[in-house]
Amino acid sequence: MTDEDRLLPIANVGRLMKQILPSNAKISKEAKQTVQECATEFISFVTCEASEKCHRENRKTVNGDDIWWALSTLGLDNYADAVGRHLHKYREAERERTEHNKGSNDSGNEKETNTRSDVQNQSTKFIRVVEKGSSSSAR
Amino acid sequence: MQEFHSSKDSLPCPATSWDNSVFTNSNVQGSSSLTDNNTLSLTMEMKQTGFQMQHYDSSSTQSTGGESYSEVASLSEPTNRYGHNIVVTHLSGYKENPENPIGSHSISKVSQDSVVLPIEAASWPLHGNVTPHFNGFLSFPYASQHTVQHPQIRGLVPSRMPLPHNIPENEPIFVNAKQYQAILRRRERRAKLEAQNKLIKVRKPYLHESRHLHALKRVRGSGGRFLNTKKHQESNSSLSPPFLIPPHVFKNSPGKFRQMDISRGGVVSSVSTTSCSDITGNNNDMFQQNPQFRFSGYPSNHHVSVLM
Repeated sequence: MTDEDRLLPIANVGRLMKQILPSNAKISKEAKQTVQECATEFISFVTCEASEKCHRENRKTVNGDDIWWALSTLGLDNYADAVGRHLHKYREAERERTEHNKGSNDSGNEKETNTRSDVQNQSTKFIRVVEKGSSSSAR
Repeated sequence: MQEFHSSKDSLPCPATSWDNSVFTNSNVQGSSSLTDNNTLSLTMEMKQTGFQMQHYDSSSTQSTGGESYSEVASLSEPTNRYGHNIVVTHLSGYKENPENPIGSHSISKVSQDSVVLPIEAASWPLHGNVTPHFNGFLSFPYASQHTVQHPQIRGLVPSRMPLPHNIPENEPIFVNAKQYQAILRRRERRAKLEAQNKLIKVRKPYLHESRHLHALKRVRGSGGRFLNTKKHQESNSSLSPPFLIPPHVFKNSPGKFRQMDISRGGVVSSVSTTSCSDITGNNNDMFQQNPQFRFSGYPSNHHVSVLM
């Protein structure tokens, strides 16, 4: 993992910041960099808690339930509710897709895909950045 | 969310960035939940009060304070605040180009046009235009903070406990009790990463050497911007009839920028980034900034392809 992977991509962060502001608002580069660092630190904070739980239970894979549990434990109840709903919807969609493509997947590959996608989607929920989600969770 | 600020506070970051992050973060998360926004508002007020005492002369802190609630510091220097916003307008206009490669020339032209017109106006109408926006912007956060402040204080007091390692701060930092252990654990892990020299210390001006070299080779026109390609020249020819701007307007632009430099001493470094008067300075700045814009343009395309 190189240095560039330590931070979320700044262009995506800037775009997300622009979505929430009025159309005529301007965002300085320093503001984007600061939010980039804050968002990265927040993701590390939550995944550190989830990773600690997996370590206690002798598990190696951090999944969506662990992220949800970490948010609940840290008192971030609003995030936990949103992540819970999103995780439920995602698993329903995944189940439907699996049934639709039942013949082309074996059970091992299917399970692995679910696990990896769970982690990605949890990070995507915070920042909606798919590319860096796995690396943040795997920290 | 309070733990977020305290953990951020332990990082070696400048205070002005902290103020900006607090304010912007509040805006970003306002859509997700009202409770978090309220908590952020309370923490924002506490933090800004503390930082303003420490950094009275910082223009960034003054502008942030002025945007949140009325303060003597921000009122004492209104000109500096307005000048700061004008500079930000220039920077944002320039940054928009990479995200729209096809229409970059038209956006650039519109941006230049918008920049030229306010400069021609007298100083008093310029302030008059800016002031109502701030007044409208000031009243909303102030009202929300005022209404929310008391319930937040009552709700947060029972569940807070003081954190150790208060050396950087004069006062102890109170955090959510549920997050206390997680914050300490996160600090240990961050210290471990720092010992292994894995944390980011210096931010690179560009990420890819090859793209940086490519940007250096591109032809630049007056003002340091890249010259249009053949495709953009065609779009330029189609757009030029509506934009019947007299040439003397562009000739006056450097003089206007120089006046801005003289009138706002504290903002000279920012103005020189966007002004056309100093070609050498612009080249140095453009060399560092343009590759980043090129890089930022690429993820935008990737995002579009992902959506399709």
